[in-house]
Amino acid sequence: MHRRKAELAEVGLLLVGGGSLGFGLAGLDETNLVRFTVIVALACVAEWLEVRFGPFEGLTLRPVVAFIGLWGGGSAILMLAGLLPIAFVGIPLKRSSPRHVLAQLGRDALALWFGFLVYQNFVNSTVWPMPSMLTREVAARVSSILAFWTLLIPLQAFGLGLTEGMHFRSALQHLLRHAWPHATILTLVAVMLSYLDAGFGIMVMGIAVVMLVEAYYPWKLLGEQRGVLTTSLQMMAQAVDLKDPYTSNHSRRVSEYAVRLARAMGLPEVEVERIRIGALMHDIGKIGISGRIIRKPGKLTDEEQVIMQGHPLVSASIIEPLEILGESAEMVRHHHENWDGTGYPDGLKGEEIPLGSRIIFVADALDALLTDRPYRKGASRAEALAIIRRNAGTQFDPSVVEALARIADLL
Amino acid sequence: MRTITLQVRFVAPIVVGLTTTVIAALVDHIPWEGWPQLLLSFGMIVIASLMRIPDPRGSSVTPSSVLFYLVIYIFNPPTVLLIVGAGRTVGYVLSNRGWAPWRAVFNGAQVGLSAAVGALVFGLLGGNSGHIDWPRDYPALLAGPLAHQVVNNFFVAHVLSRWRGTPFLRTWVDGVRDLFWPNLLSIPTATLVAILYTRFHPGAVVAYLLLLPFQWRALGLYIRRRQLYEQIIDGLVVATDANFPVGAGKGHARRVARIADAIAREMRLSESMAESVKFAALLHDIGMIGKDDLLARPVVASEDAEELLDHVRVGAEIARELPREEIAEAILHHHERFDGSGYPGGLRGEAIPLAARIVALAEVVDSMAFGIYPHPTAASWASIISHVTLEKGKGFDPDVVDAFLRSLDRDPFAIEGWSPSASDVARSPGLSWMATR
Repeated sequence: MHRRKAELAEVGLLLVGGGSLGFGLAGLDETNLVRFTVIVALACVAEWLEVRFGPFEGLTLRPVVAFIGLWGGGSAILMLAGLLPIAFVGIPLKRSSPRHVLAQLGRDALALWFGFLVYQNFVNSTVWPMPSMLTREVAARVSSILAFWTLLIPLQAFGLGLTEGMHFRSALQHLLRHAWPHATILTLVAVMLSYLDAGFGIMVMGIAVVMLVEAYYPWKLLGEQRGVLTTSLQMMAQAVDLKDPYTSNHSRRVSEYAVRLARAMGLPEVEVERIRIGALMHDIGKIGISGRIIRKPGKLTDEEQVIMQGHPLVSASIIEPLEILGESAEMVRHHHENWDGTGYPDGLKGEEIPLGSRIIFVADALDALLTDRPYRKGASRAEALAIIRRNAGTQFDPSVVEALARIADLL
Repeated sequence: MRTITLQVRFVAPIVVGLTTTVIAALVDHIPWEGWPQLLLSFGMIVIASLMRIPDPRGSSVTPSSVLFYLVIYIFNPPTVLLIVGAGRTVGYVLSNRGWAPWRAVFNGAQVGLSAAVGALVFGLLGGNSGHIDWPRDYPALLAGPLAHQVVNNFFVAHVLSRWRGTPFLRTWVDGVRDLFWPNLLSIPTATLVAILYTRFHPGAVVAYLLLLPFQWRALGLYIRRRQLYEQIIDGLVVATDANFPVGAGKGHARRVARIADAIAREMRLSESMAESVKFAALLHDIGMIGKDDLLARPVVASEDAEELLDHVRVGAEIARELPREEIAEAILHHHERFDGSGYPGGLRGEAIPLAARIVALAEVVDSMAFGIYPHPTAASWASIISHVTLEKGKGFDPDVVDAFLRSLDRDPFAIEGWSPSASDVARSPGLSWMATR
């Protein structure tokens, strides 16, 4: 059902995007060709600078240039500078899939159109009394680009709902929380730059855009560093998982499942990030356990059992002192607690167990069931789900299991 | 540090004397009637000297370079000398680096002179101070700041080369090269501020400084993340070390990284390649993590030896999580030999990734020096060097061997007295790599 909706939305966005591009090209006349070229080139530079707020797309500086194009030249330049860079930069440099680019084109086209309509309405309408032409123009500029952000961000959240299985509300909250300071500042910058454009010519405005990109560079670095952090944690987890060849990539899959589960349960994105890290790090405590015990195919002796059961504590103590990771320590510590209180290390019961731990526990069990072991083949999805369902209420939190059943076909 | 002080005592009077003489001789050319502007620029330079921003691409920058370029664009050379010299001196004193009046004055005079040379070049190339004519002034706008940079690096290299015992010319060229891009990227900013300053209002320069905190916020967050990342790599290195039962294995990975880094720099590899070499060297034995039980035995049996060799595959599989493919490739092939008799692929010559060839040499050097398996006892430097030379073209890439020997010649300190830590590995080079000494 999910996939169907996503495809429909994509086709719709594709039509909108294609139509707008066509409109933009049709509206281009020869007199403003130089200006058009410079603006599109600047928009490409601006598109390169992307500020990411999470493992998915964030915002770029492109709209700033596109709207300057609108205010000084008309809707054709707005559409082309706002849309062409998505393909020009997205495909060769960011390696976005064509499908993703098309969806993005349509989405941005909608938001750009909305901004354009607001601008036109503001400039031409007599409904809004304004003390002077200048105030009217400034107000029109500010509100048009604000209108763009206002439509773009919910559209982005909607897209994340379709592709990442996030709840619209939590996606929107997450995006808004991170995007609004940038949207505000970029709105002001865009209006200032447009007056630079009018007063000093497009070349000076061009330097200003380059300067803006340079000034924004730390934000791009910061966003990329988030990705590097996740991959290096994955590497650390993989180092432990590979102590037993049968558990290769275990932690990464558990973290994927746990993130899906957490999103399906509508948790806020901040918590989802904690769960992602907690799930990646849940077995890190096994780093100190001898490979001989970990790879042992048969039953463990009592002594070995004690060593193995110590790993949640060790995992938690490893990540606790590290900021950002430390916030996940508590859920890592309790990821082997059973719902009925028979688990370890503390024998917590029901709601006393942190929600993150309960989610990681289910994800961990799911991956263990699905993968092959030396002594048995992995279970099929239906079998694994049935086994987990059977243990809901004793081992697992019933509400997490219910969420798992809902998204089982997505995993 | 003592040598620096001596150096400063010797050169500083000359530089300071020259500066004061020039200012005194040309004092009539300074537009005193525009004193508010002079004062504003002076004040901004002082403030900017106090704002140190750690730059992820280099060591640390202050926004002052943009302001230097600004004054190069808008004032004549004697004025630039006065404003920058005085501003920088006061900024140095206020920036809480200890009370060292001579050093402050020397620093101010030195930066002032280089800025004045920049202004001179700007004027000679047709730049009209006080009125930027864009884009006719394009060459002058570029050349002025670059001349400033070259002269400034001349002074810096003079001190550094004595301190590090490196050839002067090379230190100078390296310094200019390291700072080239950050400086080039400051030019558009400076140009824009200059245009606004001259055509709109001098207050534009204040607006520029007000924009900085927004940038700082991202940098602060970024550096915290970066530290966390370094801690993770550090943790992995410690975990790898823990698998070696004997004391000599401790710190092996970091020492190998140090040697590999010295070779990579000697071979003048690109920044990203050098970084990959360092990461590969740090993590080259990460595949040992699951093999603790094998290494713990006093004698390694032959079938166990086979399994130990497998650490390159496991290690590569772990490192594949990193976004850079070449790190995993280097780890996979760090036991290949140049003549094709190594493992796991039996690759030969150029078919072995360059990073792997570098790590291979660095690893053998450190293992011999510290007597790490399979070398039973620690070897002397002389025997290590003769072994490496003997294996040139057989076990090791001749170019890598040459680079290694050259790096020893140039800076034996880099290999011998090292106290490396993983945290200086992730850092970019520039001045920071010398700051770790």
